[in-house]
Amino acid sequence: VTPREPIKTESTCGALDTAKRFDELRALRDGWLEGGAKAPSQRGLNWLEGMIRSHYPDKLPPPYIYPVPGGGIQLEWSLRGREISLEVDLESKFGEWHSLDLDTKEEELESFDLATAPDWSRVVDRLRQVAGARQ
Amino acid sequence: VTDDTLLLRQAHPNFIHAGRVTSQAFTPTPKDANQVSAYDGDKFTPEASWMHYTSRGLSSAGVLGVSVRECAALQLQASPSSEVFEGHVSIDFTGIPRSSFKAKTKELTAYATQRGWQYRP
Repeated sequence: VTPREPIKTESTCGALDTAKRFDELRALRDGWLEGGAKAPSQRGLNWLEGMIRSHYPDKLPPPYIYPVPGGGIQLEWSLRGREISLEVDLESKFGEWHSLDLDTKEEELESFDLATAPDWSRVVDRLRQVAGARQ
Repeated sequence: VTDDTLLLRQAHPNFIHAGRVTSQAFTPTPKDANQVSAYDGDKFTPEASWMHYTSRGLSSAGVLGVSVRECAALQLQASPSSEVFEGHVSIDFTGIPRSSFKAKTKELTAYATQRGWQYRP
């Protein structure tokens, strides 16, 4: 099959407008996915956007951001052959980290308390490790 | 369907950010009972699948494709489910531990991403 149009893959620094994406997510309403999904709460979105602004370094590739049908948010990165996701529960403020190396199939799973600065630092450290020391 | 059949999956607009598709595009939702819906690429062109899907009032920003062989490599069986409509195929996650969903959906998305959009309206 010949690709008609390429799909973006690798994360890059500064390419995403995180504030604009959060505005898009604020416009979601219950039933946004074939009538069967919960919209993320405005309060939860405000909290997560604020935490990213406070704790996420500009020098790291910004996350791709997606709604989750259950009402949460998923941050994702494609970095050096790894597919990384951080599924955020906006109520409990916990995040489930999952990383898959597409070549070796090695997986990493970890839970982070994203209400705390130390756990945001751990997330950032993980991403720096994957992205490389130059970040 | 054969091993080479391309399974056409509709991508919801909210599952695309800055041109990148989330692995959730291939994640079965609870209401799907562990089945991911797709179109049989031997019976629908990508454009025809998009037309059929959106004519039912559903949203799709484009059509992705994975082969039956790629699903099988991930221990996911793809089989026709013509009771839904002729040309409908289900990718079956039954029996797959929930803890394995993320890895499998990321691999399916990687296959589809490498292949590129099959149709974009």
